[in-house]
Amino acid sequence: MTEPSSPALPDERPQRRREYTGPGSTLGLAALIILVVGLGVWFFEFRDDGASGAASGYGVVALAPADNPTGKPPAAEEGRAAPNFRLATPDGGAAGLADYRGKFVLLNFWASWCGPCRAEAPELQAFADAQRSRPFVVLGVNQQESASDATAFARDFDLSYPLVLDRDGGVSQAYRVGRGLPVSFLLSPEGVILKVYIGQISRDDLDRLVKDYLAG
Amino acid sequence: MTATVRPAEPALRAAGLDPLRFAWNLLTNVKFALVLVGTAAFAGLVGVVFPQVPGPMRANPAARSAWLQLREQDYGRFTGTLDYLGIFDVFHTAWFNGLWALIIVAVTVCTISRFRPTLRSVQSPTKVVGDAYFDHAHHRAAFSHAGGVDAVEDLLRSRRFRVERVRETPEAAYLFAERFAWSQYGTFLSHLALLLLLVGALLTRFVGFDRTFVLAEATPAAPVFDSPGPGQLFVRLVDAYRGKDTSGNIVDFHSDLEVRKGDRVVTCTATVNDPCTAFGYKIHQAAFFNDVARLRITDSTGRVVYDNVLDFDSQSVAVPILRVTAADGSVLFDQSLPQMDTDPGQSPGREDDVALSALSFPSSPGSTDVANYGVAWRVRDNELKLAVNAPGATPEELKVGQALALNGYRIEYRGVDSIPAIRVNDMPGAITDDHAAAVQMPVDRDGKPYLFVYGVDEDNLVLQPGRPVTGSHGFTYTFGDRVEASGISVKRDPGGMFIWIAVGAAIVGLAITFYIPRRRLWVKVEAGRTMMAGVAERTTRFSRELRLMGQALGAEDALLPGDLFEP
Repeated sequence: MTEPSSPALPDERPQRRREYTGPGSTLGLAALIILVVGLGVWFFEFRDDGASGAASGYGVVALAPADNPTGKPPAAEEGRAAPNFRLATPDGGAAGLADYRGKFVLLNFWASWCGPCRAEAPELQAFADAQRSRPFVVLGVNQQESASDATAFARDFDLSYPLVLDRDGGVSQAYRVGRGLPVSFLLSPEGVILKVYIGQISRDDLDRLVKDYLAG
Repeated sequence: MTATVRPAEPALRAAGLDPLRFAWNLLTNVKFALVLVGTAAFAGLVGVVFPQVPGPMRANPAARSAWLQLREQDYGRFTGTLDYLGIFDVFHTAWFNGLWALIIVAVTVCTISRFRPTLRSVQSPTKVVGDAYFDHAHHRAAFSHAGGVDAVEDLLRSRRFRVERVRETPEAAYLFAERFAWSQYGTFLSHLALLLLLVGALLTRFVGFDRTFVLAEATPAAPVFDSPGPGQLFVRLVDAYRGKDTSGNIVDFHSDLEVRKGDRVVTCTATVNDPCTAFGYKIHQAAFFNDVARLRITDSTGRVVYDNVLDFDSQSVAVPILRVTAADGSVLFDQSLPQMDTDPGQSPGREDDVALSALSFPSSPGSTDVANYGVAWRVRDNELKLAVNAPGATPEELKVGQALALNGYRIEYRGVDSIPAIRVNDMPGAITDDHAAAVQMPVDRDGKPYLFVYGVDEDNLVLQPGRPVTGSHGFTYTFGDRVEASGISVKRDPGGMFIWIAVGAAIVGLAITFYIPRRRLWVKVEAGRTMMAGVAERTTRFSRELRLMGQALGAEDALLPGDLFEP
């Protein structure tokens, strides 16, 4: 065995930081690890699990340009075309916004757990009855409840206006309606949003609706 | 000599301003890390000392503006500047979150930068040192003993050193011995723990969920999240249960729940300490309420116009408990007397308010004739004092425990009760100007709850469970019954597991670092003398340990004065 020409001295501080040797082998590794952890968090926590109603054919449906008089993409704002949709009805059928084209539509988002919705329902039914002779319809969109829950609600309050089931919440999302129910949208016969009613719709709101849009 | 052409370096690097090198040096600098952590701690202190915008107001510009106006009382003209700097919303500012992002990057870079040197140090330690090291090492010893290099090897192995004879010359043999090499990873483990702690905190902050809400029995399933969507959860309270032991002490609260996500349903039972788990969320029992009433109102056509639960929400009213006995000793009335109206008095405050009610009871046992007396009470001298009015009689003020005789009846003021009471707006049939009615839920003499409603009809309504009462306006009121309700807490903390692992890693890492220091030892064994030099981090008396090894080898010249003294 031969003696090395210059034996190394022991490293008294072995955990000393590594010197910079270029972007790839130093910062690149850190960036890669942060990226991998970030992707992992996104995959497990934020990724859409794909369980939407689109697969069943229900949900938000593209609005044909010919049916959009605003020339702007549909949005849940006054003056914009209402996001189009097709949803199941509690009796197993289907209905969509397009079915009511040519009528004023009071699109009412509701749920049976929502107290103000329960308070509002009799008023809406009475109003729908009173406007039966006019080109007007109340369309109730139930937010994420079962057909039996919606049917029980309709039976309790003796509702006869059409109801649809937004089972996966996709239409509620398109209309930016959260837990703060009820929310109602008045749509023109051309499908443009005329007015947004946040919260329980009042008798005054309905009177004004008649005066401004239906009485003429 | 051949001329070599060196590649042109980027201008920044040539000028000594390589930004990546600068970033590397900065992020791997312990002082910079301390500055970051110190700044974050200071910012946290600022967030604690200064008032912070309440969460629900944050997204409401009008509410936020009103809140800031209130702050002007304390901070005057600096309010706007402080708000601009985010001092009133520290934990949600871009600079605060950016600071933590930088800390995470710095800790990550720091941890990674130490991994490869640590690995190299453990896997490929320096085994051969120059002879001069035996004369200058900080920890060293020299002594003479018998047995030569074999004896030294045997001793080191007996002390669980890994020994390697690395070099031999005619004059000397060189050994490298090592113990607890793996403990070098302890510091790395501590760094990793810090990183995991930050990742866990971030996950908790941005992905964690915690909401508590009240659910009543016999009400539809309520959504958990603000936003609808396929991930929305619905929770229904099937049964809220308050268990009591034979002495009446409450021993158990639990809620039977039904949790739904899409078409999937999980049924489970939640208690305070034993949550049920559904769809990755933990659901705890957080509270119990039994002051909730179910009220249903139909109009004259039978259509439901009101169907809801009345959550009294701990609101109550103090009322007297009266007992009326006839001359023959039979009890005609024995229960709380609900309040029917309030005389507001002269003062705008409530100090001279007088509560009004009517005491009605059968004139004799089993009789359909009813005796009526007006009753009023008010708080005076911290006591609820009562007066009973009868035609032709002077009202006499009673204190708790007192009684009066009136028309052959003995009316005893037995005590004060607190009964659930709430004002219900937009009550169908309400005759008040604001369309509100007052609802109280006392219990009758058998302990059964009933609803007492005033403000909906010319007469007050007494609603017994399940027995509809139709008022003069045609509305029919049905008291479903008293239902129970639970405060339900839905939680999810994906960062929790990281934090537990981080805490464990930190404890193990610090324990290894401080209590199991790595020992590296270089030995030169000559014919008559053995020299040892070594490194043992965080071990101040390693030289003494080497000398004691010499003593164990039989050397008489190994020890120094005091070596055998144990501190």
